[in-house]
Amino acid sequence: MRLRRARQVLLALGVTWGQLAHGSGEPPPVVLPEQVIQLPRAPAPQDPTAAATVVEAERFAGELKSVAELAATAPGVAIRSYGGLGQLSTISIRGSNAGGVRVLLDGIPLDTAAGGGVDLSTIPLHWVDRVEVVRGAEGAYFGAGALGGAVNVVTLPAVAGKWGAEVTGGSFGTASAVADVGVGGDRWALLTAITAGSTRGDFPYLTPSSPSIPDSPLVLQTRQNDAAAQGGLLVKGRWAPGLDRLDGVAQLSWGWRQLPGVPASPTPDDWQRGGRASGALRWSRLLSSGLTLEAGAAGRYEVLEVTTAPPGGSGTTDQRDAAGGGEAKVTWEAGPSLFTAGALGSLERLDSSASGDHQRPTWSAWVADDFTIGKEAARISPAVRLDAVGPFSGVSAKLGASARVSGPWSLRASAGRSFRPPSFSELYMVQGPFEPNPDLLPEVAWSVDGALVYDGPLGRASAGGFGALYDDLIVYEPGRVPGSFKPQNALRASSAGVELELLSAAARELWGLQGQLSYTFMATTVLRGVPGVVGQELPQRPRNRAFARVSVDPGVAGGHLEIQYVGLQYLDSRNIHSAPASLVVNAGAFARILRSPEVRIGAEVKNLLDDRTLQDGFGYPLPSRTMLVTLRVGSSPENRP
Amino acid sequence: MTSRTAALLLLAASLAACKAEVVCTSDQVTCDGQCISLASDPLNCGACGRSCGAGESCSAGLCCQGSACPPAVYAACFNGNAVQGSTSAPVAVGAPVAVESGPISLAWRGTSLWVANSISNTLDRMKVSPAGLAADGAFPTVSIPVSGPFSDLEFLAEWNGLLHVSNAAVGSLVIVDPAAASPIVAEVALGDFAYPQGMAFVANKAYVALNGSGEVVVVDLGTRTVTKRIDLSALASPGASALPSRVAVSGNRVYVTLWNLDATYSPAGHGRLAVIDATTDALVPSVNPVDLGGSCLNPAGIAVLGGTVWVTCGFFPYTATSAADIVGAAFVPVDVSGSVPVVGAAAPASLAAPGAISFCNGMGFAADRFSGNVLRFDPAAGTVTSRGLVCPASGTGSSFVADVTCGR
Repeated sequence: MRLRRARQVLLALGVTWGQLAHGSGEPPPVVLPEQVIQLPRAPAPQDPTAAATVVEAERFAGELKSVAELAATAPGVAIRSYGGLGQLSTISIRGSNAGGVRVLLDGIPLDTAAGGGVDLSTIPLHWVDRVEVVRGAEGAYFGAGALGGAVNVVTLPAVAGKWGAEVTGGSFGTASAVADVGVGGDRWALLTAITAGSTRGDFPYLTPSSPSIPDSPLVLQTRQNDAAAQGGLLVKGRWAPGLDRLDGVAQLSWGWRQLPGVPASPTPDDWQRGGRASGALRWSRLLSSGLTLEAGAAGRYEVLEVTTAPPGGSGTTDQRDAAGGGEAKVTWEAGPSLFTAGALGSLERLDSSASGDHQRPTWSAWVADDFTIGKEAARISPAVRLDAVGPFSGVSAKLGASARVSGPWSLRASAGRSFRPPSFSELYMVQGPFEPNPDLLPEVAWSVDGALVYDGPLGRASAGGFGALYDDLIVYEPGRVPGSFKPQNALRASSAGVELELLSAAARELWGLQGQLSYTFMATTVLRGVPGVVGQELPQRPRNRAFARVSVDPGVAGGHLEIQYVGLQYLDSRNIHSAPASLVVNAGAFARILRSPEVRIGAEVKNLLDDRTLQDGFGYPLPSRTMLVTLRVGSSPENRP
Repeated sequence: MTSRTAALLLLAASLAACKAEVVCTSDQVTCDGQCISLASDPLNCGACGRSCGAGESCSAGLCCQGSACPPAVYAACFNGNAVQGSTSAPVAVGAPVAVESGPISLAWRGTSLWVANSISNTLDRMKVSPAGLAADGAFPTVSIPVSGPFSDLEFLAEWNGLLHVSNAAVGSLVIVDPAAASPIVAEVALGDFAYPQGMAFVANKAYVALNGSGEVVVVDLGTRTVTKRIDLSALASPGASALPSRVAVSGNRVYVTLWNLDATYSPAGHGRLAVIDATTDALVPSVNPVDLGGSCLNPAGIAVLGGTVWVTCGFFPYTATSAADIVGAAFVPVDVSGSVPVVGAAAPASLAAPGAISFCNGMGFAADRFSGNVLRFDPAAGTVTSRGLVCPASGTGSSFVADVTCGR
């Protein structure tokens, strides 16, 4: 048992590039009386005492949910959607900027030196096995950049004998197809998955007839220049000859989308396209002495071309980003201590028509311990990491602890510090009125949190509070030349709030009933900035967010109903303009036509109430009622190896 | 008939008309048929019919209490998020009034001074007394809803008691009635990529420069509809964009400055002026475009003084390292008293990029787009007589003056 736990933690402590999903690295099932449901026992494999939520894609099988939508079911998370249906989508955790969230795909960091956050819509949703959302200053575990937290998207595991094919079609020309097959033997497995999808995105929406007049009559419009297409190939494998184990993953994805603009200022000729190729290879050996060695290499290459047509746009800009490196790690289990140490070296190069051609190396070293006291009644998890990213270096640290209070009840708390080096855009971008600033300093974040956790036969629940301080945040201020803007370390802000989450299958005997609830209250305050902004809330950070879902699965058929609530959010730094609260209801149903092979047909209705006034925090309309039908054929769950 | 003959005939006709009316001294104007000195008459202080309060005197067109006079000029300090009063020296006087983000344009409505804040999409109302400028109520006075990730109010003007706002982010003309319970009373869509900027009024029509589409639109303010679109794109240098910006009216003609920039937003040639006949709402034949000469690049401001339209010019790239990088900076007079505009000798503006300009009591005051200075310009001498720092920089960033208007 102890060895297994060590193995799990070892595999999980991939820190930056180590986490490759495979069978033994997955969270164990929670065994409830007479049923088994997949609930994560250790929510954040990377950080055993973190405030974290693991969103299992299997619970949303047959639904066309984007990676961002899956992540948004966790508390503390705010998604910045720019219109939905394949459009740009970034994530904010606990009030951070999108650039202050580390996003990894199978442990490979996707945040590029260009900055600005990771576009989650570029990750094909059919690849996703689970989304691990870790909240707080997590630089000690995820590396420089994790100010608000980190999101690790774990792709499907390579399981021999598992196969499937799925087609989806629905409203606004939305269609997708995916196929995956796993082959292998006793010591190896290989997964190949291919996916493609597209949408016309021409949904109807209501917009003010006179946008500058409050409460002016609404007029019905159809979204134009909003199509998107995406394709991808995933190959993933493992090989375990003897004491050694080799894991590898390669991902190719390509996407194209039109850029419609906002209704008041449409951009009918703008579009962008891009692609990403990434891969990682890791070797590990578990020695009988409790010592485990691990080494790996990973790389990523991305291209992006954006065309904004005149007269409003500036033509075509392109960007190519390449990164690669290797890491080595050792884990040693000695008594109550599970000690991990590692080092990483990588190089990233960005060629951009806006920022020029630049590169910088990253050197990292870290140590972490997971110290167990009294038959796992309590654990303490300190970690410290040193990152040197080009000329910027800093220390990230985290101290977490948890203690069993009584039965399934426990308390957990943690405190951390992280930093984010300035991006190449902030350092070097010269485009129109934007000036570079090579003198920028890293952004810094401090966080504390604590929660009461229930993890027992009724499910898993936690209720906690958090606080975060973000300092030296980089914002664009008036530049040297009038009319220009220059990035400065000019902003300090705090966020504090409450996070509640509940996932339960306690009434599963009632048609397989499951329920999920997450709620976030978050108050942000600007502590340093220009007059008129200090004391205000950060824009695009709603105070209240909630997600609730119930589902039933009695056997041959099932369904779900879910509600997403986003409270009022300010649109500007002075809190003059705001977007009203929104409530979205989604529902779906499915039927199993055959059990072996499993043939399943499902239907999903998003925005069931057909609210055509929905928009994101930037004024982009969100889709009206969207119906999708999915047919899946695949290996039977009972017969899967 | 040659244009010169026509001009002479028009001049003769004008003189004949004057003979039939009151003839005043050069420092006087006629108000209700009387010769009035707007600089000193407390019943017509600064403008016909503008009377000073009890016990106040009129000095330099301003109502004063003893020696305490309100500022002669007001400046919109864009980066400082403030409106600052200034003497005619010009020297900043009194405390700046903090407004919201990006004050870009000033306009008087009666005794209230209004400012449009470009970034925060708001309008603020200030009151003026001999004690100086002060906020008139809580800010923002009027909040114009935002429609997307960007907001960009560009210009504010008063006409018939209503405020008219160029909303560039939306591409519309917003009409505000401060006296109404719901002050935003109308919005006129001006077309995609319109990017409206300056405007001026003739009778009940607004002429709005559309920087994005290269047009001037004529808006009927009675029906609040666009009645005419006047394409100015052909007035630019070959391959360049006209980029209409500021508008002024003299007589029955409308004058529009054209940036005349190339695809990289660099000057494609001399600054230019478009001339529109407000009767036909069409370009005046055979005078367009008016070439403002090699001393004028990127014309930015325009104001009328007597029979002369004054255009301010100056270009600097975002990569400029100092004011020495400013090129084509000048005050250019265009005599519009005849049927054919005549461009006079440009008065250079060294180490400055004059933008918005207002004539107050016969003296010109121009906003420097490269610094927080206000330039005092003597139109008779054709020289910049002084300059003063009215909008100082705060922090490490730059400062510039987005607009100036005369005091009241």
